[in-house]
Amino acid sequence: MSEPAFDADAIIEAMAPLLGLVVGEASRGPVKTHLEIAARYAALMEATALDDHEEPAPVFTP
Amino acid sequence: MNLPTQDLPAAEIAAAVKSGAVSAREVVTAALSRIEARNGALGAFTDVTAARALAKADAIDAARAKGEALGALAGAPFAAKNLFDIAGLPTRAGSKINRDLPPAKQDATLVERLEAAGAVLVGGLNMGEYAYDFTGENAHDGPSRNPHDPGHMSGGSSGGSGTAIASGMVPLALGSDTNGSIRVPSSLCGIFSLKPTYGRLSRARTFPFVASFDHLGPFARSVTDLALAYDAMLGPDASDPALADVAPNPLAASLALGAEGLRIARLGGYFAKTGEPAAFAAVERIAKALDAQRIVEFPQAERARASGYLITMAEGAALHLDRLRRRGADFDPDVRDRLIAGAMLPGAWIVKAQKFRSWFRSAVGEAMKDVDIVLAPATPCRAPRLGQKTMVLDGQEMLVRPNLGLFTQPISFIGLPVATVPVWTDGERLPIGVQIIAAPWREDLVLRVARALEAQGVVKAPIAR
Repeated sequence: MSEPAFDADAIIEAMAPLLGLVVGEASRGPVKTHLEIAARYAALMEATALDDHEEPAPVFTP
Repeated sequence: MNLPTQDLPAAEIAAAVKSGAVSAREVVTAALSRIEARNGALGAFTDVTAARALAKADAIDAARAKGEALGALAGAPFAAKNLFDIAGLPTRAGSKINRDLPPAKQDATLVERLEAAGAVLVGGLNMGEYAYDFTGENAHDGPSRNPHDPGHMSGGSSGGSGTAIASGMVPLALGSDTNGSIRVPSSLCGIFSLKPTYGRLSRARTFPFVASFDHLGPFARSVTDLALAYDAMLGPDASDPALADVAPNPLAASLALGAEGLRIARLGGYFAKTGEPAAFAAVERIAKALDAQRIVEFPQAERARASGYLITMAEGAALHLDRLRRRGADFDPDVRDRLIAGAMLPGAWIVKAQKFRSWFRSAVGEAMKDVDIVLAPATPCRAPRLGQKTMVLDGQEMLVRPNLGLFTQPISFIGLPVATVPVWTDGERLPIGVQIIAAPWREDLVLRVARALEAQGVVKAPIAR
């Protein structure tokens, strides 16, 4: 699997208006850093082969 | 009053109050006096509920005078991280924003249960904003400091709980642990703590962080006090939907069974790297005391940590999204910017992380088939300096704030019960903790081992002077 392209600036530009969030100048650098950390962790997690039938942990009990 | 009650564990205070050697009012007055003397320099308490505490103490003394039976914690002062509801106070959860909330009408369930056992609430404790923190620093209230060296962190997010216990302000405190927020301050402040199994103790009327991982538990300077507090807090509560339908398992009576016959191993792999030598030397010391020679591995622990990290970002962001929109400037910037990033994560990552959580639970269950207890470092290092933003572990520079919990996060990810025990080294001013971990619902085993180590003198929680 090729590494998905990850552009933190593009994510911020696209997601902030959708979420109704304003990412101020002082926040942009730290938000990018946290997105990049998250992307690294997601890539690590994505490398795990999970069975289609593996239930997510929080299963709703009516 | 001749007893130095400020230095006594809760069990001994209760015995003294029951015998009449000291009154509950004398005990509480002494605790309030120590808080007054030490809190300004250490930043443990954000609220002191003196009038309420003295009224409660008087009620205990009146009950004794009438010959009524007193609870197991009679007269013992305690305090709660300020995300626990305390009737009459807004539940600030370490934030500026929550101070605008109306005062809580009723105490949190666990506060009520400790008071029903005779303990006396003396106040609310400092914490990292909205519990998204491992440092014990707070942008609004100032840091809770490490009593053993006030230029260093207490650890967080239950930092005030660590500071209050290690400085002898109270013998008992409550905290919360989502990814390590009980175990990290326990390690950095050199005190005992218990993070029970996920779903064991009621979270009713506490301010949440990550519903998937939020746990509550006690801190103390003795293992017996942890057991007494835990026993008092057990029980069903319809107000917490995550509370599991399991029978209560009181622990105080089983502490003396010790570690004899238990199969104990060290955790290898992920838990044996990315830390300073002190973290692994502490585990080694505990393993030697318990004659634990085996090493077991939790498969893919690094991915467990990664998955827990992502779920935390996303659930935390969902909880605070509206506040991020309306009150962004009122957050601690370090917390706000992590939450903003969390709001932007793809849903597929989070669902997959929850699927991995199921996988990891099964894999760890398999790994623990042949062992009763596993040992791991609680933190990768001793307490960093206040304000320190980065650290170097295994040659890699990383952020302090998220990474103090790198050994705790994979464990709470699947809700295993953990006692953290404090290890001291001659010539070192600061302690470091070791996690004693068992299978789900076996809090009895982790406290038996902690008590055996305490009885051997291998671990201890001295008051910082």
